[in-house]
Amino acid sequence: MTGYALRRLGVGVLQLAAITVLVFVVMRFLPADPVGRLVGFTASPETIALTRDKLDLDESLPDQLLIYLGLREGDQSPGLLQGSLGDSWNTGAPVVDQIAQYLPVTLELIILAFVAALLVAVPLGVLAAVRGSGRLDAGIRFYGLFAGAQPEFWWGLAFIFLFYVTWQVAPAPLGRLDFLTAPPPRVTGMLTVDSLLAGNLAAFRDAAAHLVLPVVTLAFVLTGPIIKMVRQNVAKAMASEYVLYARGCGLPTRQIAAYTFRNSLAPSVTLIAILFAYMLGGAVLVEQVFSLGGLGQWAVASVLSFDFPAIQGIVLVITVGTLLVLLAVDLLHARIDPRVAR
Amino acid sequence: MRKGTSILLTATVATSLLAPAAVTAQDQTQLVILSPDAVAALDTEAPGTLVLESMAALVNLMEPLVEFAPAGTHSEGGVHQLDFTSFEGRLAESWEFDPDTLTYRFHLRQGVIGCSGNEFTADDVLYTFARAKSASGTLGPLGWFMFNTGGVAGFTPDVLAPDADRSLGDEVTKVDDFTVDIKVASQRRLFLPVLTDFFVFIWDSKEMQAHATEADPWSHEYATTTNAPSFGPYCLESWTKGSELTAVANPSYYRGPAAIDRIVFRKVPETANRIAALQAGQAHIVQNLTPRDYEFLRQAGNGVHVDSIVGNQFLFLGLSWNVPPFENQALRQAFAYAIPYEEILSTGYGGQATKWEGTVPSSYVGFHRTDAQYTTDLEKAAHLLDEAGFPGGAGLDQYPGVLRLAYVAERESTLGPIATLIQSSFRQIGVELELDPMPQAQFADRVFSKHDVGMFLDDQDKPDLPTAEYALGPFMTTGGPGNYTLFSDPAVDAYFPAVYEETDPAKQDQMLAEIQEIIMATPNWLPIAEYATQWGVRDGVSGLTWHPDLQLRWYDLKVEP
Repeated sequence: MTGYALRRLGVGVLQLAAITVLVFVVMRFLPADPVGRLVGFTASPETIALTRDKLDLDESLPDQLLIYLGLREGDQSPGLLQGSLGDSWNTGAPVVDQIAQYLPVTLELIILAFVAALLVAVPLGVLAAVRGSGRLDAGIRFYGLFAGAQPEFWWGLAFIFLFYVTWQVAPAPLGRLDFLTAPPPRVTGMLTVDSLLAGNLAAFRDAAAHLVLPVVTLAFVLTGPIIKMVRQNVAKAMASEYVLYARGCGLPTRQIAAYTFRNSLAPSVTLIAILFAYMLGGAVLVEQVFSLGGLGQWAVASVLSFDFPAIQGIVLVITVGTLLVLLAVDLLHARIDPRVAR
Repeated sequence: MRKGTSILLTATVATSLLAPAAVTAQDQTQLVILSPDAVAALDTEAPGTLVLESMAALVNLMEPLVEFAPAGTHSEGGVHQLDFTSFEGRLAESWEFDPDTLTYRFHLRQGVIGCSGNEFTADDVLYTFARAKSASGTLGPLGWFMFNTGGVAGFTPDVLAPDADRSLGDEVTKVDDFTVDIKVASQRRLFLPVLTDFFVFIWDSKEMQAHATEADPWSHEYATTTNAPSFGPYCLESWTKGSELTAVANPSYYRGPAAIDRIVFRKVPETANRIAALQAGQAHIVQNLTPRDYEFLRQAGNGVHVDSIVGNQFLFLGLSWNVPPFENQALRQAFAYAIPYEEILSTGYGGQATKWEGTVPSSYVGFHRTDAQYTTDLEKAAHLLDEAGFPGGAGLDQYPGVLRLAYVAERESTLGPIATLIQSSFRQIGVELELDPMPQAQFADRVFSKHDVGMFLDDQDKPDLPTAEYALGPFMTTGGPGNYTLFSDPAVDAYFPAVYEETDPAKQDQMLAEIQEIIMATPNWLPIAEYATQWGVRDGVSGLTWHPDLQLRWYDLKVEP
């Protein structure tokens, strides 16, 4: 198992290095030079040249890559190997600081949404599979299709319309806290966690209230495919020969369900992990609709403005996150089914 | 989808009035402004400064040496106006100019205390000039550019060469703690307007230097990410990147503390949410809506009104001088006569615009309504097309890719319908346009830097300094830094730099009028509309004043209890 984990980790590092270089090179082939936007429309040729020099864009592509990696000195030094992701060309602030600012917002949202989705979807999926075709199964299947039929932002706007505008039971979708609530001292960047750490229950209630609709929106859309996956995998496992044999042996239903669940878990875990990575994409629109100011919104702004260091930093962070999730899944998979590690 | 939902949401708010639009006792001295983006940076030399919200923060946290005086008038839309020919002292109490030595002497205000508790002195002025000349920020050096435009000695393009000495010389000197001399290379009417621009607002040098490092002697990182220490009417209270900035009134502000104690400036990207919050009384001012949204707010009422002014925002169709066949004057004029002006004004801007009758914003000093005017006249357009050698549009197909009308894709909701109107009108004279929306960054690169776009619609770029010579010099002279259509006319060039340096205002305006006539007769920018700058405002909020940078001064605002 340890050897498998190390091998898997080694592959992950290689993947990370390859993606880092690939993203850097691909960025340089985008159909626009970011300098035009940075210098503004009154820039003289001297100003454009000065800015290109400051950003190392006057260097050759291999030299730019070496500077980015930290293997050569440049105006944009230090580089990746020195722990720097550079400074954003939009704001001038270190990309690392900006990631630390935005990432917790997104993580708080998707972790809570993911937990909520799992808590609802897994029992429902198992129940649908166990009960077989019937009203409950039909209802759950309908929900799965219904929830996935519209994108996250559409559901977000619909929920705002119902819960904020019409019924007035949700706070205004204007950010993470009310205008009069003082934010807790920053520790993790997740307001619910930081407010609890500070013992500030008023801030916690406010932050949690502002998260309810975004979390419900993401979870609502996510629950459909998870139910579908769990239901299919459990149903498949229940139709397998070992379940028939267990039934033939007269084992109690609870014990059969435990065997079934364990054997249907492996493929579900993989798919759920992929969904987790996918949620970063869905979170972009939810952050936009609810004015949360997370990594997704920042990523979109960076891409639209060709902020190379920010985009590279965001891709790097998402890649690391995805690789870690997939690594964890592989290890869990190996734990569930030891044959995988051989 | 987004527009439909916006209307759905706002309509419901309008009819149900989900919350009373009250200003609570707690809100009496707190004002909430919602904007589609967040403050990105507080350094005047960081690219994030070009985000409108960053400018809004800077003009309220920092303080200029001088400012335009109030005109004592307001627009039909209720916005207070400034007199661009008259100045009042801010950090400078008074000044005089010595034509023999080409030197301005500024007498600085005493007893001014900034948000850091430091007293304003001549050192702060010298620091601000020195920082601008250092050209050490990431952004194209706009501080340097402004002083260069104002004619300050020593701020020449030479200092931008890679190994040039960028230290401040004797062009700005300290006479005593409260007196500063500034030398100019030539006397320009632009000099004082330049000092009103936020790119050269005065830094608190002591606070900035306290955060300087060997690698960053001008404290760019501190200003970019933490604060803009100065002597302005508001002090930074908190700044959550990507989300919100709050500011509190500077209790020591030399003009007296602001009427509103606390300003919450929050990013709410969804238009529908900004409108809903304004109507629900949870926000006091919203900005950067589309003309259609403002019209909706006007109609809906519900304790909300719209303040507006036709200031310096305009729409034009740019034709690049260097891209054949647009060097053909008859063709350019044909296009000018084919533009459906009235439809654009009414449909594109909901009537909140006027036809642009010049090449300079009509509110600017030196604006001249030109004799040459273009109205929609398809017959004349067809005739000119024929004269240009393209009868009925025939022959234009030999210039592949040129008849693509580019515009910023992020402005689709406003510019998309306008581009379609132009496309439809041009089709009637046989010119088939292809619409080409592109991301803002790509637009900026291709239009401002590479100059490889033949035709483009632009409604976002404006000259910040409200004088005709600034609106023309950088934009319409050969090699001018803002001349992104590469317009070149020796007759226009011949007026510069003399027009900058003419000290008789009447003569100067006469020269500017002649320049505007030349340009209008052979247009590279086809002027279309001057449209209103607007704000959605809760009833009871007043004092909005229009500045050429389009940013509200929070100090001027009042909220009725």
